[in-house]
Amino acid sequence: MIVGLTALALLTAACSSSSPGQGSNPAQSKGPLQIAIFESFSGANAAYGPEAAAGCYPAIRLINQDGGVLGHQLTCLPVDSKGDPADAVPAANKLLASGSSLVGTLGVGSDIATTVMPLFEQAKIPVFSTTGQASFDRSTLQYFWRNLAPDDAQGYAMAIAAHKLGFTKAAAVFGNDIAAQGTAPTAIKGMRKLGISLVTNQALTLDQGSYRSEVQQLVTGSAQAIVSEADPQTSATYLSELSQQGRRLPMITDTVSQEPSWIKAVAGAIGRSQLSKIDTIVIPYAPMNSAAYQTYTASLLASKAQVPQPAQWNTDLYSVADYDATVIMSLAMIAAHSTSPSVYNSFITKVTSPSPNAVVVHTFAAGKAALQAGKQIQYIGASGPSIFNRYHNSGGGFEMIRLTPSGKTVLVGPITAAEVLQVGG
Amino acid sequence: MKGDLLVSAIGFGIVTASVLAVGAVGFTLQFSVTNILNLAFGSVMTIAGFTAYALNARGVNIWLCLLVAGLAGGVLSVALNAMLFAPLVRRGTKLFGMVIITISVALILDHLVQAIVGPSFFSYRVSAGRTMHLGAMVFTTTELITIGIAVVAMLALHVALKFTRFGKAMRAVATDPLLARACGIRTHRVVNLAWFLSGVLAGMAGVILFIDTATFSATTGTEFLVIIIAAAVLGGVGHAYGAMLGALVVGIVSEIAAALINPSLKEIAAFVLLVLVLLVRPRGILAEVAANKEVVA
Repeated sequence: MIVGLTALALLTAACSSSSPGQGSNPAQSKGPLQIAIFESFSGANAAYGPEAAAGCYPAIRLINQDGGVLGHQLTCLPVDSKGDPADAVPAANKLLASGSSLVGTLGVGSDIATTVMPLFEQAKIPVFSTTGQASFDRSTLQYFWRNLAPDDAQGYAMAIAAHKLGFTKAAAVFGNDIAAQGTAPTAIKGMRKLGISLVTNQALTLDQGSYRSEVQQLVTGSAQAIVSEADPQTSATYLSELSQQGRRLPMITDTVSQEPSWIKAVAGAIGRSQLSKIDTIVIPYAPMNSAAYQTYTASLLASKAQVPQPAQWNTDLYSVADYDATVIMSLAMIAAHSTSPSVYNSFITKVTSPSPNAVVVHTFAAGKAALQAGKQIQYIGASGPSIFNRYHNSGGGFEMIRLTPSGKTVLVGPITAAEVLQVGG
Repeated sequence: MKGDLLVSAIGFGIVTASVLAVGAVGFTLQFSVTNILNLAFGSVMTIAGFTAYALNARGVNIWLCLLVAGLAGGVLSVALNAMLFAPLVRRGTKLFGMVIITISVALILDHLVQAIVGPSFFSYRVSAGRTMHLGAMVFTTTELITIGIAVVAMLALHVALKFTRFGKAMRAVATDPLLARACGIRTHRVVNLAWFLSGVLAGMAGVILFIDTATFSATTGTEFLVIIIAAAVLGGVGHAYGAMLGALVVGIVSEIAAALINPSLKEIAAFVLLVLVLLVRPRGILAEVAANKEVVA
């Protein structure tokens, strides 16, 4: 009987230590930890999922090569949100109910952030979100993190770019989707504040068969440049019809237009050479010749098995930001001596904030070594410093770039955070 | 200035109408005979469009690719009917069930195409050609060719429906399939022909659309389906000439709305017009189809 009871006790202990349950500490077992890529992998925005994957996989490759996090290897877990709240909510619920290996999430774009973030908040899972919505500028969600500039700051930066490039009359041409309409108001407000005359302001219905009338309206005005954000299909159709009318206006666009899908669509429509001549892209400042960036690039190119055609993501800031996010979460776990999301979440700022005693590191390996040596660190990654304010937003300066026909980046000029603040107020 | 904008919008509307007309007529033609609301029509457009792309990328002239795409669309549509729709109809699947089936087929095909080609964008190798001004209207060579293709296709269809035996048989089956069968018309063959013609027009519409948008992806055809159905319904579902008229009205009204009011009202204008017309004439402008006909296989 004693043997039986002992066996039963042992069996019960074994079962409880291996059964998953929300809130249990993943460190109790040494199984792999999951970083979810919660993005669209199908439908009209199916490029967003692979874009985020191009950040996650290179990061975990380096992390796992260096021994993982507290004895755990990391894995990336693609979860298709389909880019629609009706599909994203059940997908999120299923993900959050699936087990305790989930330690962090990437993705959660503008199309689903408002509906899905509360679910991750309730489950106490940190999310590095790609949403640019201004409603998250003063977010009180503790598990929401944003390491890319919000849309409203991006809009002001585009206005400053138009001013710096010497334009006095411009047209605002933005898609009527939630992402583009997050940038449009501040772009327009900024242009007016800087004395740029707005010749026309168009909110384009996405993915139409034709924009000829809209283009005609633009052509009859006297715009010197177009300030624009729209999805690949819309931009390609619009610019193709503008080109057919014999007009090649300079463009000022944002982060969307350095995504491979946008470049492929528009270059296919108007030619790569023309695109590189007319388009100035305003993006958050990310020094592409930094050591961190080189590390990211090398790991990205080595991740061919998980990231098809990896080179196309090399200059995509969303991928770079997701790479840094994965590294930041991993370093935060090491700093917290815990893989439990509710514990390490508060250490995210501890591994990214500047401080006199902090050792500046640019890779996971360097950060891990410094932390294990008992030092404080500031991780400055491929997308630059991630200095989070109390609303868990990180944003700094911007830069104007052009992409050559071969895909290389040429710096046109900087736009400082102070300039953005001056225009934005 | 406003007058010029209006005239140029009408010109643009004619181009849009040409793209819509080929698709709307293809959609409504098959519906008139079978009474199946084929929501996989957009997917057939997409697959045919990519068939054309596969050839065009290897140097084949786009207008030749258009013909091949039409053929591909026709074959695919006949195959879908033979393997799926007709057997289900014979087993007693009714109207609503068939709609669900076509939605499922659309989802399967769209996801299959996306799995094969990836979430990327593609463009044909086709030049827009010269830009010509006809008064305030502006057309490129490609746009004029598109209008020409639409006109020829509509004329050919008119001749086929009006003057050929098969055309008359198709109109008979569209009106009353039971009576047509009783009169010795082989409804099965007529149905197959309807699917084939519908698929040919879907294929051509896919290529024309993809030329018009300058870039396309695995979901472009399906995204355009709603406006095609709107044009077909506006003209009178099941009425080929109605679909042509509906396409013209939708094309011109949406471009005028974009030019003179606000670009964001483009689609709204088309659908508001649709609702208003249906309030006055519930069966569409040129209604003809018997309201209570069941599905035909």
